[in-house]
This record gives sequence, C-alpha cells and structure tokens, in this order.
Amino acid sequence: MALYTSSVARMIEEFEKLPGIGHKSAQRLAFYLLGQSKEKVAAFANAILEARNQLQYCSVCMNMSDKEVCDICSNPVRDTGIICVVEDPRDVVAMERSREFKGLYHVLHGVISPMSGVTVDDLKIKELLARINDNTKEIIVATNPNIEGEATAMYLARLIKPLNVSVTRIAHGIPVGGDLEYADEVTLAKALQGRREM
Amino acid sequence: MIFLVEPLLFLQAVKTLIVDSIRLENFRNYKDIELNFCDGINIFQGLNGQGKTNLLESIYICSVGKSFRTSKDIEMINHEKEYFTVNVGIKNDATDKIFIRYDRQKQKAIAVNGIFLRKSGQLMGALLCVLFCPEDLLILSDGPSRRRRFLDIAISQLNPLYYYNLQQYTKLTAQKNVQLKQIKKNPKQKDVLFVWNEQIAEYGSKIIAERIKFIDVLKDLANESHAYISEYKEQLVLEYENTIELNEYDERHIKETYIKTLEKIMQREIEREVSLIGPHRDDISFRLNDLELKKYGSQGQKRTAVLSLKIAEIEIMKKNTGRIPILLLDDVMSELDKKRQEALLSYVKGVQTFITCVDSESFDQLKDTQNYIFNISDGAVSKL
Repeated sequence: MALYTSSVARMIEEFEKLPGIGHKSAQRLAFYLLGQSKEKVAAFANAILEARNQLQYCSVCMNMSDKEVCDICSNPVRDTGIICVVEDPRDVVAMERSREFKGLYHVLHGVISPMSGVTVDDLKIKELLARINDNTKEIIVATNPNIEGEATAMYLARLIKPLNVSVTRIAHGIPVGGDLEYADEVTLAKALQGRREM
Repeated sequence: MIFLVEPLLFLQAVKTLIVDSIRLENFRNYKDIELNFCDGINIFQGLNGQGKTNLLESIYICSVGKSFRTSKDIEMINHEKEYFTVNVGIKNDATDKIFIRYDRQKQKAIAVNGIFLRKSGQLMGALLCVLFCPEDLLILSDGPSRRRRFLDIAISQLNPLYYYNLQQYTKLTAQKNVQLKQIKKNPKQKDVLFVWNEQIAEYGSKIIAERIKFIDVLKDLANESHAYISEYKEQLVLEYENTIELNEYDERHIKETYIKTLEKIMQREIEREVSLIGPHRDDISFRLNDLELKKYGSQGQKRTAVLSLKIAEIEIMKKNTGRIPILLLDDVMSELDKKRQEALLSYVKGVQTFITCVDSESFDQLKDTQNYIFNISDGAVSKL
C-alpha cells in the first residue's frame, strides 16, 4: 500500500537528502509546505533557484560571491600579505565573526579524503599557489583539526614552504572561557603539546 | 606519557569497585527489571537461553560502551521495542552511576553521574571491568586480531587517550588503504601518501609504546599466576611482536623507525594496495617452557594461561588505578577443572564478581551463604 502519492513521496525523498534531516523531519517539512498557498510555495522555490543561479565563486579566493571578486578580496584595507586557508565558505563566515583577522582568505572546497573520493586535484590548490607572490608573507592553514584536515595542512605546507613563505597552523586546545576540569583528556593532551613560552 | 605513573598510589587504600544495582528497560529479553547486588559473588543461574549472559552484557556495555557478543548495538534492543536503557549504580568510586540509552535510530546517549558525554570514548575508565568468557580461550588459538582486541580493550580502560589514538589510527589506515589503491591507478598521487604515513607514525608509535609498556607489566603478573596454578611447573612468557623492527622502545625512537620503515616499504605497499606494518598487524606471542603455546600447548595449559592473563589484567588495573575492577565470568566455571576453579575463586575474594552458570550447586566453592544467587527464567529474575 502506498502511503503517499508519488509526487509527495518524491518531495519527501528530496528533503531527506538534506544534511541533518531524517525521514520524520522530511515528512513534516513536506506537509508544511503542502499546506501553504501556491504563491508562498512558489516564492520559496524561487528563492532557492535564484540563489543557486546567481551563485558564483570569487575568482581570487574561491569563496561564494555574487560578484567576480568578492567584498573581502576587493576591500583595500585588508592585508594582502596574509592568506588564511579554510575548508569551506562557512569557515570564512566563522573567521570573519571574530573580527580579528585582517588578511585574505582562500577556500579549498574540501579536504583530502580518499574514502570520500576527494583528491588533491579536486581542491582549489592550484588557485592558491597562483596567488602566492613576493608580497605574500604568511599562509595560515585553518583546516579542521581532524585527520583529513591535518593531512591537507601537511600537504599544503610541503608545497608552499619551498616558496619561502611562512606557513602556520591554527592552534587547538582548551576553549576560551572553558574550565580545565571540564576539558576532555584528548583536548588537554593536545593543548599541552601546543603550549608556549611565556 | 600519562600511563603507568603511580606516585605513592600504594600508600593509598585500594578501592574495590562495587556495582550495587542495575535497572534494565527493554534490554534484550528484559522488559523492566531492577536488581540489587552483594559486594561478593553474584550468581546468575538458569538454563540456556534464559538471559543470564544478557545481564553480564548490560554491565559490560556500561564499562566499555559496546557489547562483547555483537558489534550491532541494535541487537540489544528488545525486538518489540524502540529503545533500551541501562542504569548502573556504583559504590566506592568517583563514578556513582552510568546510564546508557540506545534506540532504533542508532542514537546512543551515555551519561556518567548524570552528565551526558560528547563522545562515547569518554566512557572508558569510568567503570573498570574484566570479562572472562569461553571465547577468551580463543585468544591463544585464534588469529592475532583477537589478541590485539584483548590488549586494546584492557589498555583503553586504563588510558582513554589510548582509545582515542587507536580510533585515529584506524581511520588513518582506512584512508591510506584507499589512497594506495588510487596511487596504483594514478602514480602521480604518490606525492600525497606522506600525509597519511606521517600521521600514522605519530599515532601508531604512541599505540606501540603503550602496548609494550602494558605487556611489560602484564607478562610478569601473568607468569606469577600461571606458575602458581601449575604448581610452579610451567613458565609463561609473553612478548609483543612488532611488524616494525625496534631497538629501543621509547616513543620518539619508535616514531623515527616507523617513518623510515614506511619509506622503505612504500613501493611494496603500493603494489599490494594495503598498509603492511603497524599496530594493526602486530601480535603477542605466548611461550610455555620455551615452546610456542599456540602450537604445542594442551587445552588445559591454554586454559591456565588465559586464566592467568585475566588475573594479570585485574592486577594491572589495581596497580595503575588504585581501584579493583569488577569481574564478569560468563559460563567459564564449567570450562575449568576443579583445581583451576579453586585458583580462580580464591583469587576473586575481594573482587566483586558476577558469574553465570547452569547450576551453582555443582560448584562447591560457590556455596557461600554470603553470595547472592539469582534464578533466571525467560527474562524473569528471582533472588534465592
């Protein structure tokens, strides 16, 4: 016995493909939308389509942008000598929120992961190397501190160091405002490894 | 290394862990039961298939986070229900309760003292336990993966960081194996291999160093116990067998040798498309009076050796943590002869023990009025 008409079933299936959405949530979202007026649903669908159609990547840093060169790359106040390399556009948003970083970004669009079929050729590494010139002082590698992020950082360091540019890695350890007693053993051990002279 | 540092621990009183209560909901054939236990020996008796081992299993998952019978957590949910919960109450330790809930959406929630853990690995060490079941006899006769598993579970309980390193190592090896296959198709990818090798050497050397340290202590304790049970006729010698040739055993030396060896065998690994050396290929050798136990040992000798290994595991936990773990004996009494039963039970005085057997009457040593005996029949438990 079919529980839904085939078009509704397909809609639920599509929702289920979204990250963090299971079958029940997908069903809820689908029925919510089906309960809306045709105009509202059209506005919703158009918003998605339009955003996707207008999406392009900044030709310099590969971040999402609605222009040829994004706002960060075209901002004359930013320090063009420092490039922070991140995995994906969301990480740029996170870094920007800190207001601490005044350099430029480079988005790799992934990390090396043979198991997910991602090789170095799939990442925006050629584009990064092309940006490095005499003006470049430092490349900060801010990929995530997991094995794939670490692997990517190591690969980048080996490529870039011979170009006489300093390559640094963001620190990881105890979160600010956190108490030592609540940090887990692994985080503490990492924090100890990365300790610095005062 | 944090492991094996025990400043003045022997001056402190050793604490005996006691699981004093358990509550199960929808766990295998138990709909909803609550049991209280004694500090000494708790016996679950009943016919086969009634749910004796299920009780041991429920205690065990509160210690290690997963079952010793299945790798599929879902099998532990009662087949008519959507989830199970286990609540364990503990005396004499920093941990006083552990809670686990698992549902058919594969969501596992673990709480220690009412605080939910972010990663299940953080459970390691919260409730120290040693399990002895008939399959343990295979540690000596089966392939090396069983011996590595024995080591990994024992060390993880003592050192949660070891468990983390092991998880990282396993992921790295999986990535590297796929990478090796890609290199075979596209040799240019060879430039990338070092990013896995270097991390593998980093985590792998920590694992090897810990295992060697552990075996170093374990082998003396196991030999002591084996000699005692065999009335000083037999000498048991354990040794860690490395796939990497080592001269020294400190972590830095291991790492350097590891990297050099990986470079040396790189071509062979590419051809074979698989990681050939490291902790996932290492083994432990057991020799009895200079003969390889696996090949030349009798059934009885193997039993004594495994028993000694388990006793040594308890001793090592005592030494390292100042706490006496709980002991779970799943149907092993009938596997041991009288002499070995006696040796085991005289040893477990002072260790809270949970035993499953078909009929406790057949074991004279279990006839102590202090012991709690539970009759198990089709998911119903009654205390005698």
